Amino acid sequence: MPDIGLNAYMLVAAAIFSAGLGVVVARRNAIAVLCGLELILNGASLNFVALNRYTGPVARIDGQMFAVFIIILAAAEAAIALAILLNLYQMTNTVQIDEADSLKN
Amino acid sequence: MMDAAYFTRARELIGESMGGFAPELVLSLLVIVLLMHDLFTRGARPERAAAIAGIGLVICGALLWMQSTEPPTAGHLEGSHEIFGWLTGDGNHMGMLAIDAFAKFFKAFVLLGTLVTIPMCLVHPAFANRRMGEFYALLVAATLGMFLMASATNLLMVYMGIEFASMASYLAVAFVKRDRKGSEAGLKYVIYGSVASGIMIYGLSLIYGMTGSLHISDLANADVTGAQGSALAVAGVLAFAGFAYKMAAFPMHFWCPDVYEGSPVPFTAYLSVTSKAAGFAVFIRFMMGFGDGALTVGEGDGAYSVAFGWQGLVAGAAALSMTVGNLAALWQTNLKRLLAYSSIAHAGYLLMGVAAFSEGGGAEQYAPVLFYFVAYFFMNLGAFFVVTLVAARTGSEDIAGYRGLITRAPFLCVCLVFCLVSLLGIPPTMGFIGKLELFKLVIDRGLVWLAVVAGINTAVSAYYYFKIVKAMCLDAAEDEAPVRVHASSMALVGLLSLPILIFGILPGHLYEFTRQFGLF
Repeated sequence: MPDIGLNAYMLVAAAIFSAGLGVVVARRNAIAVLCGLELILNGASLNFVALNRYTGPVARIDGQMFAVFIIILAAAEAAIALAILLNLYQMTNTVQIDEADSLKN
Repeated sequence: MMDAAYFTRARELIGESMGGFAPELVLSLLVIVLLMHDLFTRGARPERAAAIAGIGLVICGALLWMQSTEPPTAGHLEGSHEIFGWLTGDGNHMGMLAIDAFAKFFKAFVLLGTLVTIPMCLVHPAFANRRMGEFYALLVAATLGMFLMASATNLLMVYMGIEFASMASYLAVAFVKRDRKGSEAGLKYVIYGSVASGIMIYGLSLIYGMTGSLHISDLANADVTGAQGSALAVAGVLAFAGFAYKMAAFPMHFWCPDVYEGSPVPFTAYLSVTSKAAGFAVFIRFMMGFGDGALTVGEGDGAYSVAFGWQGLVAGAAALSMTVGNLAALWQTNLKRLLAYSSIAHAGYLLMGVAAFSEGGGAEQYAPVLFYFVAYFFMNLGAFFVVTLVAARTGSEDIAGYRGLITRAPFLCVCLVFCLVSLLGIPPTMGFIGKLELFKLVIDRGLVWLAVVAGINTAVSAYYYFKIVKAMCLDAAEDEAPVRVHASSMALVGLLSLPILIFGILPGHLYEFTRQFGLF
């Protein structure tokens, strides 16, 4: 199979990252924001794995390890965010972030 | 390679690492014990959970005090003591955590901040008669995360430490169930925080690609050629987002006022002091890993240097942090929100000192920043302790509720005035000496414009600090009833405010003391 090269991987990673950032900035639904967050983290993971394969020292798997830890922490973070969101939902019956506005300047 | 000697050496390394990791191990055990306490206790016993947490933290502190920063066996670590390393061909200097004086300073700082938070939790009304083991477990877990941040020497550990401290904090902010403000604050904190750390690790992944290593000491060896110089700058800016979020500095400061207002007051106090310190510790280590960043690319006439200008980035963030923080603080009427903006401004002053660091600057250059952190510890915790006590009695966090405090609680009022005057930075307080040293360092390194910005900002901040002092001392109280607090709380407030005055008049010894905790 021909090697598609590092640039292709990094372009895809950059696209995923940008899409995630766009979702986080544009969407007001907290669940959608969390989905965008997953995209950001996956963009970074893909970068780590690809860079490890192409530029890292041959015998080391630092980048792969980093990607594994990102996956674990992403799951933990989503669990915490959903727990807090559920608690808020029980009080306000909404998951729209801009309706969570009782803290004002 | 994989012979018996290799495994013997590997076992020795694990033993040595565990020795250096003892304070963190105590904290890990403490988290479990506190969770178990809630499981096996009938009814709410908040005092007992607090006592267990306090004893555990004191044991951790004792181990930290006794910990040696010297490498256990000479030779193989190249002068720096790093633990949880692995065996590499050129000796073992690729550790995950550094055991050095710099880390020790910030660990002690975070630990003392946690210890002061516990009595604050005991007087907080929303925490009375509840099962508090869980909360203290979160508090200790956040402290453990900050310990890891203070000594992280590997980008993976940097990320893990930041996430560890953050995740425990998210839950602690939203700890009081059925409290709408707390849940909203928690949600904002978790979303801003995760996005900031997501952006940071994307930046770190690019840096990893350029260095081929995750170790901080390898950052200076970035293999940068041609257009990759700008890629390094982009990666640096992205990574800075995550650190700025922990330091509550511009441009990632948006979460700060909402989270400070919504979370329980004791935890606000904890966050404003310890989280900021840990953020600075991890960022300073990371930034200094880059060295001065001047990498020469190409040869002969075509050579150009791709200095990644940390100084410009950090100085810019510092100037904007203090300006944004101080200007927004002018309009605040809620004292917690006001102190939140004030803490953003203080992140700016501290970053101003960090911007003046240079690779060959020696260990002394860290002293002004470390000294200012000690001052910030006393003045910010002192101010928040008074806010906790007054809010517990009057139920008000608005400045209007502080009118005539001088007649209702003279001692607390005088202590709060000391803290505010020190936050503003006028003599004879510790805040003044700290700011003076920061200004000296910054001007010494040629960043005069930054010192001017900071000077103007200090003048602006006088307005809102004195607004509180005026309300407390000159305005008439609506409710003349005295604010009664327990003698032990008064003693602790006094203990936090007294050093502001003592070290404001006699800073010499303490300043000399902070000198030895620089990063080498």
